[in-house]
Amino acid sequence: MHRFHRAPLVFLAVCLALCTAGAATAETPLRRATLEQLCEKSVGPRVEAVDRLLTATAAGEEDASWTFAILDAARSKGLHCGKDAVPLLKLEDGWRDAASLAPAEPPEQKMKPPFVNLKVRASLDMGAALSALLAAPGSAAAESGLGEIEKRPDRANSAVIAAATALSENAPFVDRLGSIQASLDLASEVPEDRIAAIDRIAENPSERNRTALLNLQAELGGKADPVTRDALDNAIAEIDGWIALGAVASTVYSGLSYASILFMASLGLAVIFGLMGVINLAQGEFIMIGAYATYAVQEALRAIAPGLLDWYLLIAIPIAFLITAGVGCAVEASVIRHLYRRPLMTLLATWAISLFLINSVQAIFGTQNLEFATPAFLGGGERLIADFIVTWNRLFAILFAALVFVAALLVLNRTQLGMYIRAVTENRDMAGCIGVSPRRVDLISFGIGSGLAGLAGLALSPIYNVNPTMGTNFIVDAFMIVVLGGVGNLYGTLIAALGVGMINVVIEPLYGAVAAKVIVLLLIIAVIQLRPEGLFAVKGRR
Amino acid sequence: MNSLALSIDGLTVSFGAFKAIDNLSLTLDYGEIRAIIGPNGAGKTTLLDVITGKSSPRTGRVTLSGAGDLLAKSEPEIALSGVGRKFQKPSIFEALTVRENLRLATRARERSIFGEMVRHLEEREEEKIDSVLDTIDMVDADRRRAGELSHGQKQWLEIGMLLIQEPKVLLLDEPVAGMSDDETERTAALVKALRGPERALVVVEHDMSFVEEIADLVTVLHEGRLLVQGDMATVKSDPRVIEVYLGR
Amino acid sequence: MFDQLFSPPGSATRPAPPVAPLALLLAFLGLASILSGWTGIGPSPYFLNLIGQVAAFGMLAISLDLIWGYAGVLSLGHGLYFAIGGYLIAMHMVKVSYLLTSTPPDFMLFMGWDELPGYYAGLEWFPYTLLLIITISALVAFIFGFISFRSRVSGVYFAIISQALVYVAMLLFFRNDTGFGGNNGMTGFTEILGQPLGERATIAGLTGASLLAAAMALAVASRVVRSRYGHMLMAIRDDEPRLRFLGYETLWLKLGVWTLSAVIAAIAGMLYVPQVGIVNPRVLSPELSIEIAVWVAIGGRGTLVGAFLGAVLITTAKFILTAIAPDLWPFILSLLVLVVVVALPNGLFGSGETLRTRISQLATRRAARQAEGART
Ligand SMILES: Nc1ncnc2c1ncn2[C@@H]1O[C@H](COP(=O)(O)OP(=O)(O)O)[C@@H](O)[C@H]1O
Ligand SMILES: [Mg+2]
Repeated sequence: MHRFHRAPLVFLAVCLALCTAGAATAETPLRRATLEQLCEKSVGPRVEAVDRLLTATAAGEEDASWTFAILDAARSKGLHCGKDAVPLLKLEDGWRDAASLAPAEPPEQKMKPPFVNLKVRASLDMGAALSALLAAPGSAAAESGLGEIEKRPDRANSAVIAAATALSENAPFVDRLGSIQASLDLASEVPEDRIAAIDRIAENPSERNRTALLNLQAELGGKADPVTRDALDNAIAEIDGWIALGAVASTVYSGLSYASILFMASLGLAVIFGLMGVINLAQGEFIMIGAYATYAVQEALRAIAPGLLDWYLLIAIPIAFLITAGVGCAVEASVIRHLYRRPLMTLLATWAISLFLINSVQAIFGTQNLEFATPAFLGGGERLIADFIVTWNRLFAILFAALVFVAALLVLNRTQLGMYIRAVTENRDMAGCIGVSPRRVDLISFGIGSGLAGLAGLALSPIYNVNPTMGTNFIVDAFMIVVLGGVGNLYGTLIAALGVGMINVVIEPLYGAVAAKVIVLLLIIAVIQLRPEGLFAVKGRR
Repeated sequence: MNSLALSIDGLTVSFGAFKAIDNLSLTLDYGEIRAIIGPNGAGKTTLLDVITGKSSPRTGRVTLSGAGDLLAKSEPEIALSGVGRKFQKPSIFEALTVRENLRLATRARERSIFGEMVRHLEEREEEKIDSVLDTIDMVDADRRRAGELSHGQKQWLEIGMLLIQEPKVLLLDEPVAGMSDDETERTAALVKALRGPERALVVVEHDMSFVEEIADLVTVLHEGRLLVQGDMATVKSDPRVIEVYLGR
Repeated sequence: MFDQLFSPPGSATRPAPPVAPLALLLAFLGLASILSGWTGIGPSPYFLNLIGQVAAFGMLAISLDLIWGYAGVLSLGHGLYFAIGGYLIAMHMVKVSYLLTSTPPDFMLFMGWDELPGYYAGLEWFPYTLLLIITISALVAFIFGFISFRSRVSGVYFAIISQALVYVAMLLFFRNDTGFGGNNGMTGFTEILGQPLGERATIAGLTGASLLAAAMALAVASRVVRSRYGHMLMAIRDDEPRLRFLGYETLWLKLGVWTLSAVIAAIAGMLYVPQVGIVNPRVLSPELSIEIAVWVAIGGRGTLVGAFLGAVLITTAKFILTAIAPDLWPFILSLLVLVVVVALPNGLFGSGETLRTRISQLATRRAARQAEGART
């Protein structure tokens, strides 16, 4: 989540450096030594140089922005060295003198960045992140730097963290720094410090912190004093509890989001099935069309109104709905309508349509997955319990499905169209007699049912892969929901979707995707033994 | 004339909270033709559904003389114990010829279904088909596909199929609905010809002149309950019947 | 007798094509193919192999037509039974190769197994394999059919549940630890019934066997549908409740033909796999199962000859077109399905209306609708 946005950072750092660093400070011995060592080939001196530089920076002996600029450049292969030459930085806007950061002429001789192996890379990454804390406290740059550090808090430089804590005014920020400090203190030889650190770490349960404590436990072995040992045991038990809870929450959460997609896809299927006795095998492809329509909106915005790009998902809602509804209406009017009272033929016809749609989209867009930009408001999430993160993109899908559910309830129960739909579902001939045109109701509801699938496609595009054959992944689950939920009952569809979504997500990590599908199928077979019309079917006349 | 054929006792059928049949008791005698009338939704079709095993009641008993409790049996078992039913809309096998329809109706009660699958009809049975074809006046149509028949002919073919089965209790649900006057008259004659000492006939109908012509006894159902029972003249003059048909 | 057996019932607008000539032709071709294998005279092995594959598909179409065309029960999961036959014969050939060459099949190496799983016991013996193919396909069909038909699952419900079943089976067979070869399936067979695969004589023999089996299937199916039982099946298709109220427990009637159909499909699978030399979970994909229904619909539901010719037509077209214009095939297939389904409900070779009468029918209906629209 915490992406380290490099380009703006470099810019910022360079700016700061140019503003604050005078020519006089350019050639300190520390800088010369650092650059020399960073240009070496072997690993040891370079790691050592980073450490020394960080410590000096924390002590205020070196300018943090320079430190950041150099380390950031070094890790992105922007630091160029040459034999007997002054090291240079190659930044996006040109060459600079490494020591002073002043603009420089492009080198005449051959210069190249020293090879960065994994170990050096880790050291440089950490160094850049740490120095970002000091270079621009409170900025977005520092924020993402902190995120980097939190991934390996035990590698952090204690002095830098202390300095950053002193500099920072923002409370949550200080809090996070405190946790990092605690990870460092775990290694402390002073028992009190260590216990304080253990307690502190237990407050913030996560898989990573658990590992840190377990490592410590293993490291101390029998040597630890009883107090520390108890503190460790308690802390680990506490973390375990939270992690278990977080795992449950995570599963429920992703089950909910999968169920939301399934719900939107099967709602249309169920309404159409109730109305016309027709199962639309192309429903999965309507989902796909919804996702492609969303993609088209994104690309159109990118081309004509980049400022609105962040809002493409919302802008696409009516468009995805209307496009899929339009395709659905066309399908109904050209094919389904002629197959009235021949539902089995409709299965084949809609299969042919799905084949046609998949191949058309493949021919136009290719087979690869589409790239969706994550709008700022959907990026990231909120860490709630242990490693359970409420990601905004899934929350979007859930809330969206909830809205669709409410809207569908309102349409079915409160509008004239809804009344017609219910009338035709209950008794087609009778509805015809009282002046409702079943044909027109069929057309409109098929359109709405398809449009709903389109919305499902929109909602899943930030979460799942979007490609021409994506629909096939959802269609079997959607059938099962219709069979389970029965027709003509929104709540039945909702509950069945929740059930199937949950079973999939709960069983899959434990026993694999196959087991999940097998269980759903067995469930269905059990259900049709007891209630052939589905769990929640409204008993109607046939 | 008055040995008991079918008795229905305390029958209640509900769909959710709604009672389609409400504590109904009724008896049928061999040899009679009974008409059941009542406004739409009175529960007539539902009553036939219960007798033939299509719906199950909440409470009550249905007993057929000589075959015991019908409610414990499946639809085919009920049919085999001697209850025949004509559906409200004509139900025949459209892809088969008229004769093939009648051959299928020839279902030897003592045979298992597997025995039935492989056997050939006996001479005697083919002759019976001929006589039924004669009764329903379709001798010339015997090689035609049933799907090509007129509406009236389909109704007669279905009645013919039931005749082959020689049911003890024959239930006809709206046999003349959608028929022309001429067809109605012929149907009335057919139904009267079906009367026999070994058979009880039940006719559900809306057409009052038809009912008047054929029925010995008329039972009026209303909202799932028995309203009046008697001969046509009594029923016609009963104020309650006049009210449910005309009133409110 | 023979006449009565094979002549179509009733008088349709256009009679259904008779079965006997096609069955005889297939039997003749089958014998000719075997002869060609012995003598070495005749078409190329490649061509013979194609004919054999198409015949197996034709047989598969007959099996589906029996239940869909006659009993009105559409299965969108018939690939399951085809796969049972295909996988079991593949296991037989794998076992034989292993015993002969002691080279373990790929999946054993992949899973690090030292020997074949226990259920391969006895599979080197062909009659036992054949027995298993028949009993397992019949048993699976019986259980699934019993559960579904008993609770009156029919029509669209049955179709999608049968599809869900084949889909689940596909997922199961994708797993590597089942002993059926997982994702890659089973291949690298060396011989069948002692005959080396890949030699022209063997290929011709397999083709001959497929053609003869297809002829047999046609004759058996035709025998069934012309019988009293066949009429019961058509009665179920037209009006199942009516038949029940005449005293027939339709559960058994449906189960009988359903199981027979599954066995025919399994035998088709058994003939198919040695000819293509591989079996993998793709035979269980919902697409294949739907395609079977498409062959039957295009050829003509409810006519055995139509179903067979539909399979021949579509699979041949697929062989040719996927070779010369692979991108075009799905479009052609989907449009063909739509045209047939909308305009030719009885298929290309089916009885009943021809294309011309059907078009005029559609036109009058449209006119009637417009008149109705004008009135309201
Ligand atoms: N399966 C069912 N589900 C719900 N209501 C039913 C069902 N069958 C019948 N009903 C209701 O029971 C009542 C009686 O119906 P029915 O027996 O068909 O009446 P009739 O044949 O006398 O016109 C009607 O109100 C009908 O709506
Ligand atoms: Mg009625």
